[in-house]
Amino acid sequence: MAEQQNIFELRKSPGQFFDWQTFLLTIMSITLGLISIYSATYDAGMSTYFFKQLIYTGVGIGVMLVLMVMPERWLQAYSLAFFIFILLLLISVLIFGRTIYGTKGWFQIGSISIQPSEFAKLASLNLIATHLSRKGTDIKTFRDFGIVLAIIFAPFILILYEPDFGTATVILAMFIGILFWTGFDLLLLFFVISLPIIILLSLVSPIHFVAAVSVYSIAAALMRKKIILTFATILIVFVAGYTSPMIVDNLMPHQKNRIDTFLNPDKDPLGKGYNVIQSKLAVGSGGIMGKGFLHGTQTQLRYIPKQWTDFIYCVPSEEFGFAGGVFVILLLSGIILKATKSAFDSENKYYSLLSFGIASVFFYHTIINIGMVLGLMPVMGIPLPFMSYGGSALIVNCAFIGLLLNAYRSQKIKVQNK
Amino acid sequence: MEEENNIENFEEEFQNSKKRLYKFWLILLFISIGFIAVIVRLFIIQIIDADKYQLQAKRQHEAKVPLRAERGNIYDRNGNLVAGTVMGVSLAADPTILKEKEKLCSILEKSVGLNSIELLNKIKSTDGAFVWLARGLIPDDLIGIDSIKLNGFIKYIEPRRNYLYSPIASQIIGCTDVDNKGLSGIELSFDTLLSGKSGYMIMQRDATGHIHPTANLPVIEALHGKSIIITIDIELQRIIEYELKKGMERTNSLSGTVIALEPSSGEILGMASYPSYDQNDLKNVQAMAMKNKAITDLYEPGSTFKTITASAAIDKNIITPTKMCNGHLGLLDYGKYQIKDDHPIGIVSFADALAYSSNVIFSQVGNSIPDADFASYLSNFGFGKRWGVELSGEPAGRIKKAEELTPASKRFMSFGYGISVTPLQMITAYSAIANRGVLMKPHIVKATIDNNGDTTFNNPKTIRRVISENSADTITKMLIGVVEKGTGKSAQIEGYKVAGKTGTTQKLVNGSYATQSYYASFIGFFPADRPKIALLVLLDSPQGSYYGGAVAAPIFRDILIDWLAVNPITASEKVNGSKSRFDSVFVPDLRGLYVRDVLKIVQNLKLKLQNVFDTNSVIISQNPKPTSKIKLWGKIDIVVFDKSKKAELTDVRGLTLRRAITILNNSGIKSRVIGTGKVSEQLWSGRKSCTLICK
Repeated sequence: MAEQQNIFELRKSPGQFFDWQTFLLTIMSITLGLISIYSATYDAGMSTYFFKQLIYTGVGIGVMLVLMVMPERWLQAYSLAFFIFILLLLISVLIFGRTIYGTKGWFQIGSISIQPSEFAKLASLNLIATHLSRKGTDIKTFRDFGIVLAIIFAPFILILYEPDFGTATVILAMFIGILFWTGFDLLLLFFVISLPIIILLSLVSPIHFVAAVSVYSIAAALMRKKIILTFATILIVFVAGYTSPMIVDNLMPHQKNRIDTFLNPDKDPLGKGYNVIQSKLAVGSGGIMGKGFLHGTQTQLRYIPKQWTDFIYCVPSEEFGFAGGVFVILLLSGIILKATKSAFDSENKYYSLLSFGIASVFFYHTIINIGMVLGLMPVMGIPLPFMSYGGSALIVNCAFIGLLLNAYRSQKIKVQNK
Repeated sequence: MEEENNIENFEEEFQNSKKRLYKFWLILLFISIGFIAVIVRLFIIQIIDADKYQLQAKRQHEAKVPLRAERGNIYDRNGNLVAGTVMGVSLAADPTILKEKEKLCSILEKSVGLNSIELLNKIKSTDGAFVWLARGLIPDDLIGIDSIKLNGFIKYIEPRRNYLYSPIASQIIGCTDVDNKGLSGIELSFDTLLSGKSGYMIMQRDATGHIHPTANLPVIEALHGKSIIITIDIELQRIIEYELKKGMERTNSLSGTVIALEPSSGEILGMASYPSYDQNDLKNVQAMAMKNKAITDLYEPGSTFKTITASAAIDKNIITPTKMCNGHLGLLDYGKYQIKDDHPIGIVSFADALAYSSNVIFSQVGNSIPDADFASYLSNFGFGKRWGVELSGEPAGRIKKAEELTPASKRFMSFGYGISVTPLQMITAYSAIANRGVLMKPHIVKATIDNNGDTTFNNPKTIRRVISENSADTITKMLIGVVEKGTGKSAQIEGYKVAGKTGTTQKLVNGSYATQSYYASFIGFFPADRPKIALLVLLDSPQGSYYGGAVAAPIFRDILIDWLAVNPITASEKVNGSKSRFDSVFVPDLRGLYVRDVLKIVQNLKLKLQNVFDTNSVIISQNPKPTSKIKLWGKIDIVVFDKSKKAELTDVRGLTLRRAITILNNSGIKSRVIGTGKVSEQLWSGRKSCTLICK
């Protein structure tokens, strides 16, 4: 009786098909991003960034709404075509693309530049979700794992070739998320994630190396997988961590320097480390309540180069303080949790996979970006979702939200039809 | 069946949910770790370390921009600007940016005349990002380099001290370093007053290093320095230095000192010691040349001190000028000491004993003055104490106290041995006699002028009556006798009465009196009946003749003759006429000031300015002249320095030296003078300086 009443009410209000929470979180994030971009480019004759981003927001919301109402079968039907189209774009951008900051990753059309690597995330995720949601596919089989690997590595290699290291790692993060969600062996997954971290840590100091290998070994043992497998991964991790400092020692000095500043940006205060030192100064000097909108001295005096892109997080943190910084984290974690919830809630495997992939991408972007601004993570060119300036990223992120809204909608419709 | 199905579903769901629960927690853990790590980091940076970052950020983005206080001017007693500030040009380079180093250096050599090899070495010798190439160039030098637009070449407009009469009065006025900080003389002792207090403005510095004013950051306005009027008459000073130098060359002395004092006020009219230096060329200066020996050096006054002994004896009625004294034919044995005269005399009047400078007679007279009286006269005349004149390095000198006096020391002291005095103490004591017995405090600062044009006068300060008017007149008569018939004959000036006393002192070298080195001195005042000026000439180790009457007195005489030529004795009256009638105002000296600064001064004085076109230019001449009187709200015509009209080669031939120098100064032309009187020849060295030869 109660259930019937519920359905009756649902039918009465079509708003129930719409995931207001996710939508509002997204709009709030974008708005905060616009405010921050305005502040970061205010008074410098660069307000064009703000207006451009405003236009991108309009386009993004349009894309979001279109994807929200698009039937599932359409999304799946064009997944391969879209993927191939993006792959072609990725190839042609290597030839015709415009180089910005050493990365050949943009098509310049008039005053608009398009970044295909951002769309690659969407295309790969959609194709993987489509493929794995087909009946009879199983990631644990060699064939399907190979297909998924191919869908990941084709764009990955092309993006790496631009070179856009940051965006390439996003594709990998998405891949790992999907492997986890589809029930891939946890130990292997853990191994795949741990390996690069341990290599980096062993470059920092021998103590870090020993600690990291120990933690890995204990964690691996606790998973109670096959002993041989466990030992094999520990051995690989150990050898990789042990040899990497030696390999680095044999590198050319300039390569060594690059790795060194990647790990310790403080050592190069005027070069690579400059941004991080400045972003920490901006954030730190913001204090609890911040310096007020348009009153952040570090922001307004433009101490952080290209702040409106990768270092946008400094702006709310400096001008609105710890309160502003935490608010941004809460907004983005809200979206990530909503995406994760969607992955759990969706009975449809396609939507579930899609949602989890989206959650992985957003999580990775957010943690790496904010971590980078706060000096926790090495500097990688990864924008903050919804907030950093950039049309391609914003439109793709809106598209992701559109897919989440679509998942919510079809879930509700399914519940209603039951 | 249905139930079974249900159970199966349930189990499947259970397995599923267990798996999902496990995944759920794992994901939650993962996400939480990520976000908690970030928030903890944010907490550390923004709350725990906030102070540190705020301080760092402030240091980075706040720039303290100094607001420079303008250094005050120095004027002589007649309102001539002797030290002013002009805007100079300084050049610097940033070697890290500068690429065409050789090109820049060769341009600078051509246009400014700097040595290109030296410049290149300067640029190459530093690893830093900043090196001075030249500082304090005159603005004219900019013309050649204004068009140089090279990255890394930096031009600054900096204030630069300009000494219009240099090297005249250089030891008194002193000089400043490149940062306009006083190094010596008035510039040093009044550095705080002259320099004012620079203010600052907190501004924001952006990432590119540009500085922006911001409304709510503090601004502390600069307090401009006050100007000083010194008691020096630059005209007399120039004569003193010229005649001293001439005398030095004639006598080959080690050094020489001259002081001129106005007896009625204690104002130092002129003061020089040789060797001297040029403030506008500080590169080749020796420390010795910067020393103002008139104030800093101690010596034994010798016979010139007999005047003091005579004053004490006559004022105490111990002796009269007509009293006959025994000169013992120039030799008096006194215990183990022997007192000698170079020119032996027999029995003469006390006045003649002074005129012929008999040590023998003065040792007896001195010995007859009671210890306490002798000591108190000495200290009343100002010996043994610093006068506290406004220049640094003044010693107290040493005289014996009453209880230290012995018959022997008293005898030697009475003709100027066994005591140490400064030239300033000697001339001040003589001035007291010239001033009919009243001692005035010697000083060199006449007045200070603050930014509003308000003038604070440093009024003459009476110290005490030392001897009675009658005693002073008696001593004066005796001193006239010295010049008329005694040892000071070479100080005679036709038509005037001169009072003075010669002195020849054996120098104390390593504790014993040297037979080869002497101090030759002459101290006197002029005109004797109504003294306007007291003058001391002291030569250290003249070669050849070493008698004060032979080597110092002629310098004394020449200075006064020159002074009379350019400055009729009545002319000095006008300076003291500072009282103005109710409806008239004294015209201030506006020359050398910016028009914008003058507007307020003129307003405050209830005057008007005419011909004001460009407030950012400097006034070079005015009508009516400074120190003349003008009715309330009267108009002052000004002529400003027109940059487009370069200083024309101003012809001053045929004019009196005083007038010629005034005109040249007003046109910004530096002049050096040889001789005195009227300008007979004018030799140009460049457009901005010339040498005047006078006859």
